[in-house]
Order: sequence, then structure tokens, then C-alpha cells
Amino acid sequence: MSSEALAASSARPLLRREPSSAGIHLRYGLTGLMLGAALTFIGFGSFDEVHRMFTFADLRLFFTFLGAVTLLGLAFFGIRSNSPALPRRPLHRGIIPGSTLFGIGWALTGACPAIALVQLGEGKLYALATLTGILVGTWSYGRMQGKLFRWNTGSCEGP
Amino acid sequence: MTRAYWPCWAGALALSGTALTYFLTLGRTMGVSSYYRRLVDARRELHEQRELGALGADADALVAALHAATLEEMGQSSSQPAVSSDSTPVSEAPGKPLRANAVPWTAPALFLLMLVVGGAVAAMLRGGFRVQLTPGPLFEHFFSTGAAGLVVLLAGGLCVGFGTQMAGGCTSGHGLSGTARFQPGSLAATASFFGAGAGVSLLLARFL
Repeated sequence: MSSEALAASSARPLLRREPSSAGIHLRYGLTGLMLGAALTFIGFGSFDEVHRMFTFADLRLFFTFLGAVTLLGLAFFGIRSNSPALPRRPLHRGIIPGSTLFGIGWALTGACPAIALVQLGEGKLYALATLTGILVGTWSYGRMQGKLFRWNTGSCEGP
Repeated sequence: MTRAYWPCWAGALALSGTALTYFLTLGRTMGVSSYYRRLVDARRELHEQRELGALGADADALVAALHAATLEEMGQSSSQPAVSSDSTPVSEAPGKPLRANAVPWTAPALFLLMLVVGGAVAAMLRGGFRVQLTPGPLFEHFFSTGAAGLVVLLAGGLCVGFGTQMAGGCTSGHGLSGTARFQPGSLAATASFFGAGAGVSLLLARFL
């Protein structure tokens, strides 16, 4: 890996110096907690609520999402960071078929990758079936990517 | 008693606030499907790290080996010592092994675990924590109870897992962080998964 890539992969966060391993875990853990709680309070963990969003019967979830994107967009614009750590996300060949497949699964299960775990936290044990599918699907794609698909999904930039 | 779900403005603040906190404290954008990727690949990563660690323990030997291999492959005219672009000779670099990724897989795995904890805490706070074996009467109306329902959840989960990996992102990565930055791939992704979700849901409502 070139030193530029190494530097980019451990790019300095805006507020802190390079955090320790404990610091990194604390940040991941705290934001995970925040997201999990937020999704539950909003109602994304409910199959009925998600179905209502997708059938346009109740636009509350949709406007929540739209509002979040708007606020985040304003924040990013305000920060105007051209840090190399922020990946460009081009429209590669896997995006439309992959996202379409994902959307189908979301409608069937009421869950996206984060929501399946949140549902488990809420006591919804049926989410274990969904999670099994997500894990197997994730693993399967990893096995197939080298042989079948040859596009860069951008996930090399990492979490 | 179960309290009402949050209104749009509160949810919007919570979601964007979380994504922003993540970005400000970690210097990258939040994306849950990539955490699943790291979790699933953890064993392979550990194996690779051990191999790299063995090499990196002696950076000079690594440089010498690469140099020798280059000469062998390219011939004498390519003989240039390896120098990192910031002009620090590799042998003077700190004695850490080369790492495949600056963030250990345990961190995103912790995020996934805390999603569960967050859901539990919030559910209890709003009085909505309840052990449920099915997604409810609406789901049962579509797919019936028991094994058929579980198969649908499993198959749906496969679609979610495989699809998000193929797309290189999910609702948080593409939907939130990507569209907020007007990234073309994320805009297409978000339109696609919302469109597909709406399409399938409308079909379910219409025909089942």
C-alpha cells in the first residue's frame, strides 16, 4: 500500500488526534448505540411502519429520512471537507441491480442491515431468520465477487 | 404503555446527528453493510494480519526481497531502491507491521452489537419491548405463520445481504451519507432500493 493510501486509511478525524484502539472502539460503539436507539424511537423496527412507508400510506418515515439527508447535506456542505478519507461513490455496475435486490429484501423483511439487528434488540426474535439471511448473503457475495463480478464496489475504502 | 413514534423532525435530527457524530469522530462516513463485510471476513483478516506481521517485523528484509524480485522480473535497469513518497526510508519507519486496514474488525463488530443494545434500551424506554416470534398480523396475512414466514425472512435477508454487498452500501452508507454528499452512485442506489421496496410492497398489498 502506498503511503498516501496508508495516510488516507487512517485520516485524522476533524475533532480529535489519531485515536487509540480503545478510542476507536468507543466511537464505533457509541454511534452504534445512537443509531440503534434512533431507529427504534422512529419506528423503523416495525414491519407495519416500513410497509406503510413503502406503500405511501404514511409518509412519516419517508420525510424523517428525507429530513435526515437534508440536515446531513447541510452539515457536510458547511464542513466542506475534501479529506481524502471520503470516498467518491461512482455509479458502478453493481449499484442498480444490487440496490434493487436489497429493496426487494427490505420490503419482504421490513429490515435493512442495521434494522435487522435493532429488531433483535427490541425482542423480535424472528429477526434471527433475517440476520441469518443477511450474513449468508454477505458471505456468498464475497465468495462470488472475484469469479463473477469484476467491479469495485468502493467497499475497499472500508468502514 | 407504548409511547408514540417520534415525529419527522426528531427522527431527522437523530439520524443526521448520529451520522455527523460518526464522521466528526472517525473521519469517515457511516455504512452498516461494510461492518457486516468486516465481520464475515474477520477470520481471513486475522490470518492475513499474521502473515503480514511476520513480514513486517523486518521491514528491511521485506524491502530487500521485493527489490530482488523486481530485479529478477524487470532486469538490472530497474534498480531503484524503494523509497516512500514522504522520503522516509522504509527501514527507518516505525517497526509496526503493515496493516490491511487501520481499523480493527472488532470496532465495526462492536457497532453491530450496539445496534442491538440501542434497540433494546430504546424499546424499553418507550415501553415497546416485547418478545415477538412473527412480524405481526400484516406479515402473517401476506406470508402466513410458521415455516413459510421464516423462509420469506431468510430469503429476504439473503436479498438484503447479497444486494447491499453488490451495491457497496445500504441505507446508511448510500442512503444517508452518500446522497447527502450528492454522490451519483448513492443517488442511484437510494432511488433503486426505495423504488424496489415500494414496488414489492405495493404488489404485496395489491395481490396478497
